[in-house]
Amino acid sequence: MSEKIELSINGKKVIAAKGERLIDVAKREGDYIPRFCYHPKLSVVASCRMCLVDIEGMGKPQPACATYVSQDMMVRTQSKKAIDAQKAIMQFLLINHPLNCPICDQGGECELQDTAMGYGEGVSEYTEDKRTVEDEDLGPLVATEMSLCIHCTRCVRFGKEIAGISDLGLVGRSDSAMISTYLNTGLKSELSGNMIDLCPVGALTSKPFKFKGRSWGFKQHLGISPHDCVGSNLAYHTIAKGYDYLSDVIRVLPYHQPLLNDTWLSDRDRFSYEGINSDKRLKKPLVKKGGQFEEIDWQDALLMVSEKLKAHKDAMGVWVSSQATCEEGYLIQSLFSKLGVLNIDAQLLRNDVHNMDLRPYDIPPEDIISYDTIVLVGSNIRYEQPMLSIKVKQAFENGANVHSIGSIHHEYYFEHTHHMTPVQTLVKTVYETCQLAKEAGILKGKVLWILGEEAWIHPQASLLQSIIHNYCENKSASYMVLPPGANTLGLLAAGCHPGSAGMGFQKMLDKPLEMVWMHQVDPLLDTADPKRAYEQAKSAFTVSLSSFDTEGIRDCADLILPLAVVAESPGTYINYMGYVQSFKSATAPKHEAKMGFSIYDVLYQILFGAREQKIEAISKKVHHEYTNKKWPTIIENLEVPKPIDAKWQRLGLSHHVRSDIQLRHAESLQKAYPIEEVVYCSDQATYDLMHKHLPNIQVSDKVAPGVLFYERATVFYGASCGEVGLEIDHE
Amino acid sequence: MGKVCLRIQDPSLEAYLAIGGYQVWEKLIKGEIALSDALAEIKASMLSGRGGAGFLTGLKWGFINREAAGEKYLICNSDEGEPGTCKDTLILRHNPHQLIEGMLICAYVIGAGTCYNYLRGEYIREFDACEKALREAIEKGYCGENILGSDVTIHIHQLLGAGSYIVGEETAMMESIEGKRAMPRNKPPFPAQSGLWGKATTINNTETLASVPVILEKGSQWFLDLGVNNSSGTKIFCVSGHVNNPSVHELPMGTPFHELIELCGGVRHGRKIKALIPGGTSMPVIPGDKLEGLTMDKDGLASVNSYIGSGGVIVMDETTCMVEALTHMMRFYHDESCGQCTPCREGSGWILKMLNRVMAGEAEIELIAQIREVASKIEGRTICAFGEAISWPVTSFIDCFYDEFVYFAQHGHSMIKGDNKGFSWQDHMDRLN
Repeated sequence: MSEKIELSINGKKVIAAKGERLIDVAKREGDYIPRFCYHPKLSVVASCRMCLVDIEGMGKPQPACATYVSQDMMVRTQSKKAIDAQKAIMQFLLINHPLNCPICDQGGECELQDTAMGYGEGVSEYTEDKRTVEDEDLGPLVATEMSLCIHCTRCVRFGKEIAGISDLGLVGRSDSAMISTYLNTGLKSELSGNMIDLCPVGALTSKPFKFKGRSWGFKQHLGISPHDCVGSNLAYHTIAKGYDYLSDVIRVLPYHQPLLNDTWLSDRDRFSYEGINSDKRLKKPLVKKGGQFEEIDWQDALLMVSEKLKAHKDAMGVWVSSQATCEEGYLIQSLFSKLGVLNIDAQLLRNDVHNMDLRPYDIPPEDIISYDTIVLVGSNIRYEQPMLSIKVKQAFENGANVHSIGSIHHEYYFEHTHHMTPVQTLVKTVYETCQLAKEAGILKGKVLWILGEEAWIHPQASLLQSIIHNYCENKSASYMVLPPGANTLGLLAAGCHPGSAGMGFQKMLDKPLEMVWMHQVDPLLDTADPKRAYEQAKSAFTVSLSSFDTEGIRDCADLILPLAVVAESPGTYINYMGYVQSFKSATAPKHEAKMGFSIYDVLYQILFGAREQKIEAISKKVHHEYTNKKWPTIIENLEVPKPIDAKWQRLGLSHHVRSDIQLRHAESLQKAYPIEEVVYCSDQATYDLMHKHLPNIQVSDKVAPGVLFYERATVFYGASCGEVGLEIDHE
Repeated sequence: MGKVCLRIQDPSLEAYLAIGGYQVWEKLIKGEIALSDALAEIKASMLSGRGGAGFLTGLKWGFINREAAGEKYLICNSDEGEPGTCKDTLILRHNPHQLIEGMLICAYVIGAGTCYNYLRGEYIREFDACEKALREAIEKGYCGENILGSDVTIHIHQLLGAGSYIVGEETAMMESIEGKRAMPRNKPPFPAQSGLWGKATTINNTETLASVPVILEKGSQWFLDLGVNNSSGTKIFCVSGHVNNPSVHELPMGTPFHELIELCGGVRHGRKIKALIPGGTSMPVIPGDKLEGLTMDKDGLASVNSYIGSGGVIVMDETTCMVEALTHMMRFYHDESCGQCTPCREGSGWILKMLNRVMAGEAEIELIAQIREVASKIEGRTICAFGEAISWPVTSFIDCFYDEFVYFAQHGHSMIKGDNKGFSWQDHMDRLN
């Protein structure tokens, strides 16, 4: 702990640490100093001047945000000098601010409104015309009302310092200064929603949420992000619809969690709630009769399911989305293993038949900053894990070297060296790099390897992990595997895996199955082998538990049961570092959807008779099992990797706003990131061969040879491009 | 012809060497003058900053520890933007070598290896003249690497601004040199702790730095003797406005004001002086009846509540409408506010809007008091001194010429010009548009 010093604030003796800002110390001591431009997570510009206080010995009032406490400093926040200054600044801020609080979306949760109540005058002296500023279209997520802007530049600083974009800036001088993208380019950042939170006035507000409700009418429910494995904490705000238990999720805000997401939230976590209220939600159970779907009662549906289960249990497979909660995973495992079904897999985005030995990686986001070298293996970290990407940027700013290895050169917002590697030789390259690093020490200082989604889906994924594991053991470096989905690790801990006796997802595709059970899975989009998964599901009797009514599911399923989405169900998620977080439901399931655990519980009762288990008991049990779980030691695989055979194969994951079924129904996110129809290849020869099949093909230096980069989720590679056929066009 | 900065008006190296130029620099490099002595001499000379704020130069240099680790920088502030001021241009065009010598001496004393001479965007001729002089100095080995055979290396770079007024503020200039928009930084930290690129930096006005070689050549006592008590040396006064011969003069501090006016050929048409702005428009105005016995130095101007500023003397005779003059000035400040901090961004526009209302004859008497109040609300609450630069003229104009403002508000036209408003800036702009 740093040196303690003593100062006085409003005559009260206060102890503070050296290097603390006066504004923070005063707040802690209960003497709140009003502020607009100051934000503890951003740099200090002291430009709003709202926090002026009277410091003994200083002629002019000083901004508390830019003042560090010092020994025997005497501060007065309530003296005439301070109050006069605050009132003057408040007046200046308000003269050109339209006083339209009743029709402003920020009303009720506006820092300017609150501060004006506390520190402003009741009467306006301003009689001139007010300034108006033209609005700018920042895209489908952030709405603007630039006349309201008070030029605090929090959004600009957030962009530069946290999100790594310089899209926004202050243009113009004097009272015609305004926040603008200047070129009218809109805002392209996976973190843009945070600017809405940072904006102290209603200048930047949420477009999907605009005019949907007032903050005092909402109920707040804590939740965990269902889209990535960091487990960001968030708050669902719900608005009542007549009865208390009937409510809509109206917006999502970040919930402060210093260990994980801090005060930030990625756009896909923030705006995915729109999917919950989508009109594509499945309303009733559907059964396929003569090629047509008919509505059916839950009771009949479940009875039918139990009959089918009894009939086909010997040749069936269970595919579970990695978004499922631990409780659902546990019940799936207990139900199906009791039936004798062992073919359960929640890792559907794997091309490797061997299991990657996933385990908790105890590297909290904050620790990433301390590494000297960071190697990203097949990771588009900016979109896959926005919360961790911020930390990699900070590490870079602290002097870390960032390398990336992979078949696609992704756009990062930190400087890095990219090593373009074709898919076939990815693992070989990593192996050689490790050898070189061991001998020549090319990776300096504390090294962190981050294995992203391209590594996860790679056919040699487990070998890749063992190579890096080996290196890390030898050189006391660290690595972490960041799986897709929110709860891959939790489902593994809950027993939702084939074990040694059952078949994994890839093996299931090789066997003809009589029955397929899909939990929140769209076989065309959520699996590593879309074509075969689709065919498998189409030929078997397929029961699909899904929250949404999609073409893909209708196509291959025989019975569709409406499932609650994550926000509608309590559960537990375990993030990449093994951090266990339980949450309650934010709202009741829509229409006739049922929570996953109650479906499995009822099925269990129908099949095997009643059992007494409540969700809390299951949560406890899962938690207990997780904490006592012995993670198997990683088998040392000293095999020298060979380049793999080339074939057409999916080797990339969905775009970050289409990585699960709920996101695909979040309208604004889809508008913000429309599907790009362009296919990228590396060379002219491929272009010439493919052009007749894919008119949108383009040559780009951002992809490695043998790779076709296709926005609709997919990287393919092949030996001879002539054999392409129309395999790519799954949809 | 002046005695210090404008002692020659020939930019060539020969001319400067002929009057003993670069001799101090040679002695300093060869160790014939100790560095500590040079600093002590500057401190003893009481040379104060000539850019406007008047901070003691020796004290400023002393803030930087020459021996401390890390890069140090010197910036020469030639962004002469204060309305009414045109002194640095003469130094840059007619005596650049003296400025270069001054920069080299200062850089050596504070231990800086790099100097930047930042000129305002319009000073293209000045830039060329300095650049030529700089090349000559480098050729002769006075500047650059291994100066005069020693191991001292000092590089001087020249930069042209992009035309803003605020870049003349020291920290805004640093931002501009760093390639960012010229917006002042909050102080502290002061430039001596964290300036350009976050390193210790000294920033001085062109006239200040050009005075340095002469002080070291002739001694601090000579410099002190030039001026008067509390104000040493000479000052370049740029007289503009209603005089017969608007001109620039380098005169000893303490020169009586009437002498300065006589040098400029007296007030036009033999009229009386109504008001005087002594140091650029940012300084408080002095009403004509207080000019009796006024001397142009720190104490003399302090006795009439004003400051020597940048030396831009603006003379206004009795035909001047003070409301119009202030409105005109406020138009400038409104244009040039950088828009960063609240009081100045919002206040400059508000004051101008109110003054425009007075000018249009649509104001109540109460508005005059409100204008003054708004101006006083800006003062002391901004990031940089621009707040004072807006506030002082407004408060002093209204305090000194309150009746005239009230008359304008009451009658809807000027007390001086009557219904005939004469030249109207607004009409002029309207015609242009």
